[in-house]
Amino acid sequence: MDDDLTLDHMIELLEDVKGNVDYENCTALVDDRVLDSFDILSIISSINDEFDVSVPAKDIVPDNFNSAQAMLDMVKRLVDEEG
Amino acid sequence: MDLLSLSFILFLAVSLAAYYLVGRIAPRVQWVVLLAASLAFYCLVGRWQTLAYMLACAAVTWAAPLALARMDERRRAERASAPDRAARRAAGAAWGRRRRAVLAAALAACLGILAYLKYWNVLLFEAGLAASPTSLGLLLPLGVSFYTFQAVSYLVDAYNGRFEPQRNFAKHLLFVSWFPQVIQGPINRYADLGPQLLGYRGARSVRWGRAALRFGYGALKKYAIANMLAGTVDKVFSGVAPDVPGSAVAFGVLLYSAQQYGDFSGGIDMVRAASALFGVDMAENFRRPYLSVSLADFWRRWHVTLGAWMRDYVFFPFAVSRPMRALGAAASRLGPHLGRTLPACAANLLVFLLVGLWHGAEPHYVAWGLYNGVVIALSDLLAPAFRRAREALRVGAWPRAHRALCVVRTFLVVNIGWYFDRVYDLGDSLLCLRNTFADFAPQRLALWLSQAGVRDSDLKFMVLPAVACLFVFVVSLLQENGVDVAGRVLGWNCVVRGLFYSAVIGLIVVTCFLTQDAAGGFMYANF
Repeated sequence: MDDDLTLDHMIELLEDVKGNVDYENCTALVDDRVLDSFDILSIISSINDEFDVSVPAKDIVPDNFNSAQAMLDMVKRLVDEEG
Repeated sequence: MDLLSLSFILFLAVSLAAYYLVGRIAPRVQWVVLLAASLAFYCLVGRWQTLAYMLACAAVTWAAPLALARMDERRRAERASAPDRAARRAAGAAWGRRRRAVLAAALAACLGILAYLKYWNVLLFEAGLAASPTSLGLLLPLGVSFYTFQAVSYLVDAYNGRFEPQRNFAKHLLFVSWFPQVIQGPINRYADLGPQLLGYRGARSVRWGRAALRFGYGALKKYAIANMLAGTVDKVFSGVAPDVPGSAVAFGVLLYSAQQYGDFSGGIDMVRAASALFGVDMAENFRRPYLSVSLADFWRRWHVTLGAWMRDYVFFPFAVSRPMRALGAAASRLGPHLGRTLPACAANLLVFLLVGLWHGAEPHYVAWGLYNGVVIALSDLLAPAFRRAREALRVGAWPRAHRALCVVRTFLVVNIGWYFDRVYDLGDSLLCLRNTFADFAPQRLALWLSQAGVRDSDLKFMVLPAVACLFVFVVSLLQENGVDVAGRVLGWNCVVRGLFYSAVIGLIVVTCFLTQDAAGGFMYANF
């Protein structure tokens, strides 16, 4: 599992949800409205499928979705918590 | 107490003087002045008898997070001392259940009070068990929906561990009762507002000029637009009959859209300005909603803090719930778009049903909420078809024209929604809608308005709100293009500024005199 938790893997997942976004550099994906509610729900669903971890509603805050790195950090934390 | 009255200005002046004076002498207790001012304002503007409801709401949302924090400590201690993983999980689950029970009880208490005060009498009336929607004589506390939702957001955020709960009840009460927000919001969040209310503020850090400009801009919207149009709108909709021409209804709804925007956003500008004088920036509640390109976009710009509240505490929790995830998985077999959008559509329907109910339990509010939910859900579901149509029509070649068309389309869609909001009987709303499309009859407009009591002088004086609307439209366009309008105005030389201020103040004063008999309150204060 931990081998899968890389930034490249997260960016790949995000590109499947919504392409043509500079996930490597953008750090305000939600604040700048690059991602909307639908995208967030799709990302949560993909994270659930890909990393086998549920994102609870309390973690759906802009800070956790503003960048690929922030999403990766959140997933790592959730995996740790579930373990 | 009208916001543009000598009594309010005196209240503000005394509070500001006390606030900054105490700030110099004893900065650690400067916030006490804000609490005293807030409680005094509530008793002066609302009914002091209803203060108990606010105190009860504050007490529940203060005590529950402290209990939750203590339970969290015990959960951590039990988990740390558990001999193995199974015991750790069992301890976590047991305390999780207890914490959820405390949260549910606190939510039930806060929302139960709100529901009782706001809906009980209406429900009894609709069921034929009460003589009128107000026959029980329940006193609706000023801003009850706003402070309840704000307190609930504090409770849920504390439950989710977003911040350490406030131990001092008086400080928490200040967050719930902060006087500029109790009339009609905005619904602030503790993480943003709490530190501002409780920290030291010096008079020099306040941007007085910007606050004054915002107050004036809000007053212009409230007095020169909303109050000037309120009487005519009332006359148009008080006499709805089967033969009402659609042109009269459309005229009334267009005026209502301007009146409501002027009243709500103008009032918000005024209270945000009042708050800014104390160095406290409250959340933005309007972002030029009538320049939206879709209904979903409109709701991201109109009553922004209610939308954000619904998004964070209803939309996301519901959309990522297990049944919705299962719905999405099942729908994705019919296509990825459906799987992606269906849970969000269901969540949107729930959100807008609640938005309708938030405004009132009457059927027309429910219909209004559902209308918004259904339009947004359909536009999401049909998004691929719309995209293909755009590509076929090559609208991308004329982006500005396309955007303008989208703004006009959204304006019309929003206004159709106002039929259900403003016409206080669902049957009449549908009648008005039917006549707008099936019996527009512009030739009967003048006669019908005259019979409804709209005087020629009412129509002649409409040039004043028209000028004010044009002014607001130009300011909105500039702001939409990133222009700092207030900064530009403050940068003008004193002669130009003086002329500009005189013109705006003149317009406000004239319209104040013309609407002396109008109520000074705000439409959203009733929510």
